[in-house]
Amino acid sequence: MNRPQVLVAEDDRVVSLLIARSLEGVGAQITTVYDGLDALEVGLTTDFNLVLLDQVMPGLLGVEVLQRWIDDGKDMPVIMVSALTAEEDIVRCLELGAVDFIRKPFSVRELLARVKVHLRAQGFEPDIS
Amino acid sequence: MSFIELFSYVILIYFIVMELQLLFMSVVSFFALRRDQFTSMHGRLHDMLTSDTTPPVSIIIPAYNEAAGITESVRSMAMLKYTRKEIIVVNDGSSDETVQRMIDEFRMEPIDVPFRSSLETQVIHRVYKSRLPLPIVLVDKENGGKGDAINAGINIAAYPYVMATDADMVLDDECLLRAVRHFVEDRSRTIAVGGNVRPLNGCEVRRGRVTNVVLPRRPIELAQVVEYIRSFLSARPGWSALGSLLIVSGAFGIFQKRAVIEVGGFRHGHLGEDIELTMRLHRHYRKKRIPYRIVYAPDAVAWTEVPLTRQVLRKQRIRWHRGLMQVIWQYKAMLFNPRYGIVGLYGLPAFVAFEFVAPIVEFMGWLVVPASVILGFLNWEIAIPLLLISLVLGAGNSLIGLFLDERFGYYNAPGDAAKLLVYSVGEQLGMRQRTVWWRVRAMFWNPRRKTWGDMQRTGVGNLGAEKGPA
Amino acid sequence: MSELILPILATLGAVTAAAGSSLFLYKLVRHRRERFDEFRRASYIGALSEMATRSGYPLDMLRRWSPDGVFLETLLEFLKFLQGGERQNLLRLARELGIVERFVTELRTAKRRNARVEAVKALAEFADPASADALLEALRDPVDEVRWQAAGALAKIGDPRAVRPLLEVLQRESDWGASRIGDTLVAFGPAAVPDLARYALLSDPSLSSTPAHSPLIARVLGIIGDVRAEPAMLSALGSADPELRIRAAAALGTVGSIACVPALRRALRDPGWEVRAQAAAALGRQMDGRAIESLRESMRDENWWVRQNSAQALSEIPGGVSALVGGLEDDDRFARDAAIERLMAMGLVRKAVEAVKDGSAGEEQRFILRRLVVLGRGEYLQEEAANEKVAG
Repeated sequence: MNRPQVLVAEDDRVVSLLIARSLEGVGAQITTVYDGLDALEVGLTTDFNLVLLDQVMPGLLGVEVLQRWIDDGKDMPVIMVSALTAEEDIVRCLELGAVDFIRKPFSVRELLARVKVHLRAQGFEPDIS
Repeated sequence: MSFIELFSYVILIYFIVMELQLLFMSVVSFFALRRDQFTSMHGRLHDMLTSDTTPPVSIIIPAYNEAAGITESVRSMAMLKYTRKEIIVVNDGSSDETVQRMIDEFRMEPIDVPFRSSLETQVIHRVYKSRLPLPIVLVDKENGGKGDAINAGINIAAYPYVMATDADMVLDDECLLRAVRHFVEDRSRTIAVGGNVRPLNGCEVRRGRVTNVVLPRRPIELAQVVEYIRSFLSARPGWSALGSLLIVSGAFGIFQKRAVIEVGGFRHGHLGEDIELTMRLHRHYRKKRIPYRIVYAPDAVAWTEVPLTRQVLRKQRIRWHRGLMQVIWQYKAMLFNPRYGIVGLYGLPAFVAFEFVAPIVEFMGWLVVPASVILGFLNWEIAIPLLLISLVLGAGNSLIGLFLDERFGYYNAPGDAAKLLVYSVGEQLGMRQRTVWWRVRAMFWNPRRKTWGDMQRTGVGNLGAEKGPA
Repeated sequence: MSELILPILATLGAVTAAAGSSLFLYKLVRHRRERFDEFRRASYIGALSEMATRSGYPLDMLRRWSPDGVFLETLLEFLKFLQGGERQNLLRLARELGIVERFVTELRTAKRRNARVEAVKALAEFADPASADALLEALRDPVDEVRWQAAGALAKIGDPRAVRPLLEVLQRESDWGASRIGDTLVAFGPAAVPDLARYALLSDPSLSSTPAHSPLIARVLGIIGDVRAEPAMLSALGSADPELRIRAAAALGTVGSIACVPALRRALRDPGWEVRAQAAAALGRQMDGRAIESLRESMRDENWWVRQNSAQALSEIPGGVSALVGGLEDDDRFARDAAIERLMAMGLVRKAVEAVKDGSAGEEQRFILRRLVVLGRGEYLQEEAANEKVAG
């Protein structure tokens, strides 16, 4: 079986590194971008099995990237990652088309667990390391 | 002792007194900065991000023909580290695509909002809100100038504090948080907080953030860097500590909405809208004897492009000086009036003596003193050293500014450090005299006559610093 | 004369030159040091992210690193955004390296206030229960920042024993200090509710004097939102302190059960408008149909905020919207305005306009538009119609 393709769009290098390291442990193939415009572009050219999208990114904000993918007919499962904690914002992100929402600061284990749920739903069997 | 001799000495003494006054402010600033640094470093800045007591802020961006940069600017505001904020773009009757760009990029939709016209403005056509989960509001209104646009933004603003800024400012991530800290620390009294504006020229900017602080190359920009440092680090902290900060920049200032509404908002068609509003706040609160604070936040940094060419710089300086004259004329009744406390007794008089009168005296000084030395009216053994003392003191003041700037840790590369030092000394000869000449030129204009000259062309343009042509 | 001036000039010149050159040297040194720090930070980041995600680490290498300030900074930076297992890994590491004890000693013995604040901030990041005693002592530190940060650290550790000493400290704090400690109390969450409720009820015998800042405590209770605070808030609603009544009314919006609705309805007639406004908002959150009648009444209040909040509350209560629409026929002009503004903000007016356009409008929608025209608020509709003409 193929390895799942995961896009990590996060502008904080340390957080990004941390997420990428732990996702590799699950056997996913990681693409990292640090910028909203880059995220938009790779998202339009590649079909990812899962996207971790930071809300606050230079270039384009997370929800804008999501909105443009949807406008373009891209249907990828997107998990929004954000320090915004207002209930209203979370609800609107999910209504916009995100499959999940993770608040910062997050536990990497919880993040991994959620990632696995969404990968399993697509028929992948991420190894538990 | 002949008249001309006496006159020359008076001028020379005036020079020295002016520099000594600056020196005094630097000392006050030093203590103010040192006290501020402790809370700035250790205070609850980062906990403010999660605290429920951090007040929400409405960021107001007046936009006049800003189609090219408005969306980038809104994004960079949306990225500011803060808890609850809304971004209000006020389209001031632009003739370009500003509104359409906003609608397309952020999926804005017209909404009906009940709002009270607490401040009178030009007609508001329509209010839009983003369909995305982003707190962005767009106000489309008839043209009325920058102050009018900010007033309209204040009417729409949902939150108790408003930040006035410009579309072309490059803000630091934490600048809003650092400025609002002053409101949080003394909520009942603080009515306005001004930020630290620095020249952007030369710095590396990526996606709306300064990523590397580098000195610009051209002498004209370098001299302005030294000037900004001196003004924002060795003068303003001191004035703020004394309770007599007369300028809260309209390009980066945060106001208590209630206070601004109470004094009637920004005045239209004024060359120095931001100084004028600050003065009005001082007058109102002093008159009513309500305790208040207008504070300067040196750690809240915003960057702006300063003029690149002599012509633009000249125009800017002339406009600033005219704005200043207008304000002084308007608030002359406060001069030496004990009712207005330190503002009336020290702040405003110092402002008049060393900002308004200075160019006249200096201008005459540079003509009269050399002439009378050459013609033998003046004993050069005394006159020249006196002149040198004032120049050395001036250079010393610039140096103190650099010392005070150390806490930010900018410009550390060996080349940059050397250049800054050379310019802070060299500025005394050349740049200083040129500014004096412009300021004298600015005076040949009647503040009561309603011809704004270059005001018309700049429209909503940046009051803090006009953008260069390049 | 010149004998006097020349020495002054010479001294000034010398001082300026000396200051300039020392500044230059200082900048040079710092530039070098920063680059070296940056270099080490990069390697620490790599190593720490490795250690956080996997268990097991080279302890002797870490021992060599741990005295380095940059290492500690990086470690604290990591702790800021880590939670769960990774956080535990790094905390275990910090304990083995003796970093927590080092900061505890620093907090207890350091003379410089900067050093103490740094120590207490670090302890807040580690949130190690072993440091609780030292932090409780620090609540008596003369430097306020140390006290406040210590309170925050105790909240992070989450030891409810700290709530009482904090309430003792609160008595003596300024408004700003109190509001910071209030934030801290929020962080204790439901565990702090019994102590806080007792404090706000003014009936805690262990507290020596009358509690200061009880409105703040009411606010804190409102944010925590635990129903155990309801009796205390109900009695605070009858307090003589208007500020406390405001906060209690607001808090009842989150801590109250439907049992508090009658009291909130009474509070709609409070002499203080802020109390009335908060009571209206709280009734909206309770979503209890019994409040509709009183809220309709409050739409005629003399204060704009009370009218506004009442109208908004009606729009949230099931069955309240028709009462709001009924407000369009009120005798009171202000009540009508409040209804119009609320209906517009809800988007109902726009919906009604659209419904009329495509002929699907119901009786209520037609009524809304008819009333708007009658009340002279039709300019909005005309603009809509004009736009329609231009577009069509």
